[in-house]
Amino acid sequence: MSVHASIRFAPPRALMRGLLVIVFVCGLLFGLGLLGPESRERSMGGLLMGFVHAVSITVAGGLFLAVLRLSNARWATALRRLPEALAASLPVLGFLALILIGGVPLLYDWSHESHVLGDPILEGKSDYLNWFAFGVRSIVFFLVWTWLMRGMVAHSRRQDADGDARHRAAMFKYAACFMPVLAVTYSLASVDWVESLEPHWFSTAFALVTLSGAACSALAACVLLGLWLRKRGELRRAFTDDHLDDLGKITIGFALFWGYIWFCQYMLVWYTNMPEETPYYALRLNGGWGHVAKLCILLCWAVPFFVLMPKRARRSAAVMGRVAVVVLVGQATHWYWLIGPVVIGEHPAFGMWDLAPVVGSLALLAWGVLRRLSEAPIVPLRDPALEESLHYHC
Amino acid sequence: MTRHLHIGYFDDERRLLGAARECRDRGIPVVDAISPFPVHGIDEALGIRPSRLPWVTLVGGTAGAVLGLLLQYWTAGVNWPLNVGGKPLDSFPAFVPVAFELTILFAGLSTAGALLLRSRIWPGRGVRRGFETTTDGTHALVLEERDASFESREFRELFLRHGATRSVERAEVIA
Repeated sequence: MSVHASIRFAPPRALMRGLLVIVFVCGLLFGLGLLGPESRERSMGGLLMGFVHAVSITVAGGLFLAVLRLSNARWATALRRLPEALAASLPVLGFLALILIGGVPLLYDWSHESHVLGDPILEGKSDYLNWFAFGVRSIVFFLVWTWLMRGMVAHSRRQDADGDARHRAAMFKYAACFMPVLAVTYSLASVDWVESLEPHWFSTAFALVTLSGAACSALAACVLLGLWLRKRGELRRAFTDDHLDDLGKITIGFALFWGYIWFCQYMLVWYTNMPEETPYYALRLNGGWGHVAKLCILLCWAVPFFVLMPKRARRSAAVMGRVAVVVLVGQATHWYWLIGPVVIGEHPAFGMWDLAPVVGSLALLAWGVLRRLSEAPIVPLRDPALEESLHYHC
Repeated sequence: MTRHLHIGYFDDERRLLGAARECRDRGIPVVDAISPFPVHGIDEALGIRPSRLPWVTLVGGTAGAVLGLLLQYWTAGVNWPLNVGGKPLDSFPAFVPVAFELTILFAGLSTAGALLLRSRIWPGRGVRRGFETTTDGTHALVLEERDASFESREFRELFLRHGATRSVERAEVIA
């Protein structure tokens, strides 16, 4: 126990500098893309992909944290700093949100008056879908998420200092607020940022697809971060194969849930075959995008579901690490499949303009997460459940 | 046929684990370890191999998926061709929900059934008594004397060395 007590994570300087260089280079490429009339939309579309992927990882990190607190889960106490670091690094992405708000006219048809006038459906939606309201909502989502997730993280860290039981109750309150608030705000955010790229289309399952995918991404990020820290030494004794096994089980669960909801949404549209709904899938299943859809199902559902089924695979760092990478790439591919057909066109294309903003956003997120991780001891020292978590046996 | 059992009673699960580990290492046949609550590491200390139950689940689930798809394909496409909204008769997406539910049903029922059969605890089988105190405070380690390589004294010594509170010998008739 005392072995872990003094351990703090110090991010390697070279890595942090490398991440900032990546952010800088990708930012330059993004800026260059914005200058060209041909590449302008694709660059902004790429930024949207990277932005929603990174935001989803942080927010679902907060969701994982809230679920652990509300269910009184003791097993993961030794790993709690990982989702805390994800959740606490949301503010650094606020910069990307501002760029996105500025780039609304490049992406969203509803922001052009010429497009809206004469279209009764878009005219009817214009009180909600307009540039000003979009910006205000995006900022409000960011502030609310930051406030509630910070509350959870801050009390967890203060518990390290004074060991007061009051912090536990406070974390519980923040977590209990965060869950329903996230359900509503994340739904609205995914409609604003992604679904409204096609303002005529609608689906009540859309936010479930994105949120379950976000949970997969956040769990995969926790696995990668934890394995890396275990290999480096900070979590060598704290992060056991039993923890890895359980993270694998939740990942299977959410991958299955993602596949289930994804198929639900698709099947209902396919079955009813209504002209107001089918164009969305007609665009995304033809002209090469159908292959991208199959790739998404393979990477986001089939690989984690079948590979992680045997217990031995879930206890292997090599297998879990690889599956985590597959899940993160798969979810990025899914964002590409959701956003790409609108900004790229009827046939998938993939190049620097799409890739640079995504890599830059994820590098920025990684930089933020590592910085947050270094701010507090690598395990919650004074949490009464730590001892039990260190000896957890699944 | 009778079998000759040696039962050691322990107050502490760590002592039980120690005795079980020694039996495993020395190759003494363990019939069972009985305790009032789950003891972490006991399966490893007893040398119990990982359960094969997941394989039953996998086979059951796969059978459910395949049978569910075949059933729908045959009923809707072959035996009584049904035109639904002009879609092809063998429309795979329409078959997925039923196949999904049957996968879960078959996997669940086959797992529960295999567990009951393998553990011989099907309904109406009655309760085997004999280690009463193991339902409140004590743990019992049940060993079997199979040949003359171990004498009764040695079993008792093994138990006492690991801190058993009581050591009992019993002949059990098995049908």
